[in-house]
Amino acid sequence: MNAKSIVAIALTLVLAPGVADARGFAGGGARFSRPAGGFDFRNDGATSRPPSGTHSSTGPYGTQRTTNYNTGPNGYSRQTTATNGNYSRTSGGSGNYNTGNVNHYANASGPYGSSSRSGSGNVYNRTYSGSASGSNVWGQTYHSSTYANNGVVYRGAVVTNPVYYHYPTWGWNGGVAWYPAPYYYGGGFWGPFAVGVASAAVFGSIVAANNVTYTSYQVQPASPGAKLLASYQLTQTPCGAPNLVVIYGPNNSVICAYPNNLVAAGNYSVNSSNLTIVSQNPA
Amino acid sequence: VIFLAAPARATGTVLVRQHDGSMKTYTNVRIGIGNDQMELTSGDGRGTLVVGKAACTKVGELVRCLPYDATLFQNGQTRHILLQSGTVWLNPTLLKQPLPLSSAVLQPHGVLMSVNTRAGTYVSLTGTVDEMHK
Repeated sequence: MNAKSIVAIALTLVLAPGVADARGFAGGGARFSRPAGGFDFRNDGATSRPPSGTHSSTGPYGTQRTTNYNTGPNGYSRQTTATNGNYSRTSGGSGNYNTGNVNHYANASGPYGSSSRSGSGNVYNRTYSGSASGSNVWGQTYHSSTYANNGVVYRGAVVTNPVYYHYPTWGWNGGVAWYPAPYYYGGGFWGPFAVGVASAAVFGSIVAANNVTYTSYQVQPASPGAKLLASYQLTQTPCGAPNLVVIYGPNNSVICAYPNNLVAAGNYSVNSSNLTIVSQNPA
Repeated sequence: VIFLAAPARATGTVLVRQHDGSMKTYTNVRIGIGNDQMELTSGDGRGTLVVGKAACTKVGELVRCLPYDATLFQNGQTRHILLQSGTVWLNPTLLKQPLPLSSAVLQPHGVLMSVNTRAGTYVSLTGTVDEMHK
């Protein structure tokens, strides 16, 4: 056999997408603890179904449901519409396997009102931001929101940013999505300490509800966090004293500030996309 | 065109460690390279992991590939495995070859793979190519 030709073939492992047909070689040999045999990748991905399609069904009370879905190597999307008399509900979502970005939405209406909810997040960095609102025929409305950062979920009111409330998403950052990077505002949301710079001044620490101790550092001027504090007219103070505004930011960061007429004492998380804080109300 | 005939008994060994630490070792795994992909078939023939996308370079006498996509065909179902990082080393020669900066030696036609999936599963493979074809 020609080794050179093997190299040539191996180099072509810059490869085309996979094989389409299922395998079925005669077995024997090793015993596996899983009765179904094969490899155990139970935590990886999901088994596939046809890449796109439509399901329609009628429920026991006459509800008509139609679902359209599309799946591909890079993601999925789906939408379901359900109707029954004067009631209707459309919901759906999509996800990107590469970026981890996911989103969902649901809009419903009936004789007595309507509601809508939506959210988006990232399954890899465990962030999520969602909101819901509704109104009824008597003119009453409600709003709620859910926010998750580093897997910690907050459900509470959004404290609207007094300065950037009318800006579009990432508008506070010139329309560019912010993310931690060493060459950008020193790297972290509050300054360079979030990316491992040890020279930042320690500003106390907080033991969060998840029993994790977060060290607080001094917010650096011109950082996104400084912009957030300034917009809410907050002044940072060392963490540890009671009745402070405690803001958990990206990358397991936390800072504290004195309450003011805009922000009451309590725990908050940062929604960096619109530079707002969300009050914590753990489930 | 088949370059290597499949031996009577595949000798590849695959270790799969879940993110919770549980681990399983699969022996007698058949290793095939062809159609621009690498196929690892379990000893019972019920599962085939296809590494279908990789960027490869020649390092000395060895070939090093950085895979970034895999698919598991098993029990009539298809599962897309997203890879986080990893490396495949292939010795295409008929002689033993040392791995660069390592004490490890790859047997003739030997394959060494270590990858982490995005779900946190670690997969390693050692063995020799059972079949290679265009």
